[in-house]
Amino acid sequence: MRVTAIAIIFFVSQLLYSQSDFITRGDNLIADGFLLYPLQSVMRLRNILNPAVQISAHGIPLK
Amino acid sequence: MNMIITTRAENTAQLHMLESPLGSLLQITKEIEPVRNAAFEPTNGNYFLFLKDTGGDEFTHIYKYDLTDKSIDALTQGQRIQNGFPVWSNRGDLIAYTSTRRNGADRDIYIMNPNDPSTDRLLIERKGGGWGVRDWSPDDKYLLISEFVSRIESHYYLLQIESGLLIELTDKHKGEAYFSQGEFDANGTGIFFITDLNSDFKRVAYMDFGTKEIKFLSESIPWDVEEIELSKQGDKLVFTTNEAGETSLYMIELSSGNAKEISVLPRGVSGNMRFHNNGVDMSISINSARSSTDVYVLNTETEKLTAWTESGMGGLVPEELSIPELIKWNSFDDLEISGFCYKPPAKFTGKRPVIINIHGGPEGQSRPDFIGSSNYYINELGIAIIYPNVRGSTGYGKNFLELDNGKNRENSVKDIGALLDWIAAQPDLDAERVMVTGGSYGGYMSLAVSVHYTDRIRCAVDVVGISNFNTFLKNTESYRTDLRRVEYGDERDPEMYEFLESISPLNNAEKIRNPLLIVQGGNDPRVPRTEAEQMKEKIKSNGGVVWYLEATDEGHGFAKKSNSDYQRYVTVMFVKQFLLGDS
Repeated sequence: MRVTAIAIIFFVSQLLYSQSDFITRGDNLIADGFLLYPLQSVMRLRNILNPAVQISAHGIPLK
Repeated sequence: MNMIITTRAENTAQLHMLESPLGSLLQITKEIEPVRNAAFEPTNGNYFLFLKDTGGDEFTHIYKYDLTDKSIDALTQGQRIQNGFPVWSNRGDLIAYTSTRRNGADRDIYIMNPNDPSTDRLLIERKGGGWGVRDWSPDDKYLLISEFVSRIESHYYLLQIESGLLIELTDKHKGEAYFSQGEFDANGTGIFFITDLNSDFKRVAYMDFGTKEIKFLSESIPWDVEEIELSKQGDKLVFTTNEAGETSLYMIELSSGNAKEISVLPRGVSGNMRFHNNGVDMSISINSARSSTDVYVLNTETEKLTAWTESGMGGLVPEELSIPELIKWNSFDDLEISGFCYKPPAKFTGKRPVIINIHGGPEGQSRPDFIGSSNYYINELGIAIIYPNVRGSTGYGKNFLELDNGKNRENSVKDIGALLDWIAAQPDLDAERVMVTGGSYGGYMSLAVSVHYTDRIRCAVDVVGISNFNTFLKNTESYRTDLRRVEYGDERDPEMYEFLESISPLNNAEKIRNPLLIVQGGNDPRVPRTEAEQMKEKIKSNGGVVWYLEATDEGHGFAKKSNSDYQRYVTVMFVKQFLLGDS
């Protein structure tokens, strides 16, 4: 019973994760020492964390 | 009038055209890699040049973008070569630029007609990686060439293009002084520049080629002059100063010599000034704690400031963002150190946890500017963030800048020890919950603070940091090695080698008991990946807690949104687990 419950929780968490529009860890990232899945909880903060557009650098030659 | 600006609408910063104030941004470049700067052909603007590297490796090549047919051509070729940003001749027929293509270590001077890359030719070979092109003389017969040695020593030369004759302008043998941002005057009879010659702070100066006499134009201002910009007609010189981190703007009418402050800038940090060819309008980027960087145009006759961009804040409410407070404390030797403290809103009661975020360089400075998503820690997690400017930072004079050089390295670490004492004395800050972080040199500092004050911090985040100065100097790209030896010491000297071994965090890793997060770009040419890997393995072998995140398509920090987002999420998780103690 306990095993089933854990399996369901794991499945639901993976489902939520895969259905979210949050970023996933790309092929270019190597992670060591921590697990990927707990990041799901903080990924919901995306809108707060990420200003959409910033003038991030400014080579501004005027024509 | 139009301008090219750089912003990131999708995954990386790209060039955008803007044709009117607050007009729509038309994205020009759509590269996978970031594109951060551009220079219009100066006579008709039908095309522009830009630089781009691959995966953050900083091996930049020059590209030409034709605005008529939108084609892009690479003007330089080759592997593991760093080409500098091109400087246009006044006629618009040639560019001058630096390149390490000869041997990877020395930066030589080249010229080329961008419309015919086969004209590319070596103008003069130079020894060392610190050479740069500043400006063309008005008749396009001379180049102003700079040689960077350190942040307290550089030199200027005139290079006669036809003969290759190099004429020394600054007296190299007369001791150390720093010269930067040189520009020819309108007649080609002298140059304007910034220097700390005979002063603790940097001033605007003018040198007449005939007499070599140097005249100072900003003597009454007891702060560093940061940037100068000369109008195309040569009649106005605008300059900014860094006054306790904030920018002030001044203008000199060169016909009369009258200087005045232009008090139209909002409080914050400004720079990247560019005059329009009309000699009146000047663009400038402005940033503050409550506003991401935006581009403005200043009419230098009416002093009217007009916003050209309005950056998105992504749901952040400007009025809710913390305004940093200038804080000061005395270090172990009574030297006054300062920094900026962003405190959480009043809804968070009790003593607040603290993140100490140390800048890189070490020749750099934290300023009271927009900290973007780091506001999350303040507004949502109730954490105060302190950005210290330890000894060795810029902005506080030449003497302060030199206080961490060579064998004085760990005195800057003690400045953080004194900051921990200061935090403990504050009624609203929690000395029991402190995290230290930083990038590059700030990454080294995070590791060094973990070595020396492990019982006084909960955890640390090292981003592209140095773990051993000797292996760093061995493995950093060769065009940087000598320039970094000036700061850290020459490891070829056995005594210095031993000293650097003794202070390197890698060799003291057994003292680190706090958890570490290490973040690294796989292609980092400055602090190579090996610095992070060896630290990770050492902590692991010691049985410590270490998280490691590497992006194989990044360099000295993460520039792609997908990667930097992920870094941020990992860091938030690390903070919640180890600083705040969440399960």
